[in-house]
Amino acid sequence: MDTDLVVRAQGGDQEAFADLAATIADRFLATSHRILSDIDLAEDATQQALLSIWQDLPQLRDPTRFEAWSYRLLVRACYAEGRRTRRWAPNIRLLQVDEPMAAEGFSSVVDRDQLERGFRRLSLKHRLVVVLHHYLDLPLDEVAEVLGVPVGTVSSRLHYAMRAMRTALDADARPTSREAAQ
Amino acid sequence: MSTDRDVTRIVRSWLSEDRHEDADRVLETVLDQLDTTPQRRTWWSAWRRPFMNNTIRIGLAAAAVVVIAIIAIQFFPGSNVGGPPTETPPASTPAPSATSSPSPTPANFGDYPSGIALTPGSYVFTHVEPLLITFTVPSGWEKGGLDWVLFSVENIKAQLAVMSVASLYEDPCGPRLYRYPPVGPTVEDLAAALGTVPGLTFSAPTDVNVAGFDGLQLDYVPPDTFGTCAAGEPWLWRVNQGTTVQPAPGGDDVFTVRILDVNGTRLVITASAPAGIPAGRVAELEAIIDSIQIE
Repeated sequence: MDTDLVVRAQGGDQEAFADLAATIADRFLATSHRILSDIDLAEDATQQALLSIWQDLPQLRDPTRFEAWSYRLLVRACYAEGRRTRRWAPNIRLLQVDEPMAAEGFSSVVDRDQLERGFRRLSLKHRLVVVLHHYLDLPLDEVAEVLGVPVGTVSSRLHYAMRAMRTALDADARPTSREAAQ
Repeated sequence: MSTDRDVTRIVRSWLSEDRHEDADRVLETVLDQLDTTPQRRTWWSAWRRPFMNNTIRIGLAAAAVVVIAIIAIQFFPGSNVGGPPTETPPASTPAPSATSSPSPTPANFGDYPSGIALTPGSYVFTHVEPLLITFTVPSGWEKGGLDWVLFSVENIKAQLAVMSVASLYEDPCGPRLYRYPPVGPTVEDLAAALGTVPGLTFSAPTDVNVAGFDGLQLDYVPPDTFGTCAAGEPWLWRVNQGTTVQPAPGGDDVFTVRILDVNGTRLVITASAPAGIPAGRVAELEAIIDSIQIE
């Protein structure tokens, strides 16, 4: 990350921020899309995170820590977006929730649907560690820093999440009763 | 049976697949908002020294503690300085039971847990600072999921919400992008913007007065034309308080928006009721709004 850009953006330089934002926007959107499993929520989270970065940049004490700091804001935005659909839910109409797909179309081959299903069943905090570690390739100590939790907590969340994914994949790999009867 | 290594490999491969995200529109929207989004500067960021040694740091911290202690003793001699914060609700808060009599003093609505049936009586919203918005609730109402949302107790709920609006979405059914240029700050700006929301029809704004404050009222005119909304549930605007959104009305919903200018603060009151709620709830909504007082 270009520290000079960060420092200039901290000082209110909009061009510098535009360059900075352009370098991270795609990655932010891709990351939040994977975390939230919803492109619209991901766009909102990315938009909110980028605006928060602009607003709070002057408060970043160490510009060399920009990357971890900016991920923290993205995580916060993802939490907010993830909560948002739940909190307002008992309204005049319930907000639509993506339901897991039915067992129709089962295939013993590991495919996207199985992964998607397993991943959607994870809580947001578990998805976060999976995406930060396995998609962004952040080491566990950096994931801990971004999330503001101890490394041990990250490890246990990751262990739980991957075990749940494995269980989901294995369960999906078993034939349904209808298929077994055929 | 998959091994742990298999699962890790599969998950990593799946996560790294190209999902064709394109952040250009998001980026463009963000950059368009920079002029109207001030940076938050802290007092320390203006003068902090890059190389502050530990002696200075400890000295400043100690001085700050002493100053705070002196101020605390000066102004709160009888208080439990340094003790744990108390979460006890104010003494005037009525007990949230269905049998107690209405409280003469409004209770802080924010002190109540979500989903609890409210004792008929007066309550106060404090979330739109600096306003104190007092209202009276009849029986059959409960606190919603937020500190500014009132629900009727049925499964299908009538709702009253009081808020300030941060930004409208470009299209309730489209990508979740804020409208640009942003909606202006006045009552008229928001009323005019609501008149152009894709997929929804609102009545022409009419003059309204709530608690002595003038404003405009718009009523949703059914039906919506969303059809099947590709983005899921249509959303109308983002609320300033917290990170929540107002879902758009639809179908045969009753949905009324009152936009008030309260001494420079644009306050929005929405009343909504889906088809099928018990008769009388809409009238109760109106009675609750009529009871509002604002300080």
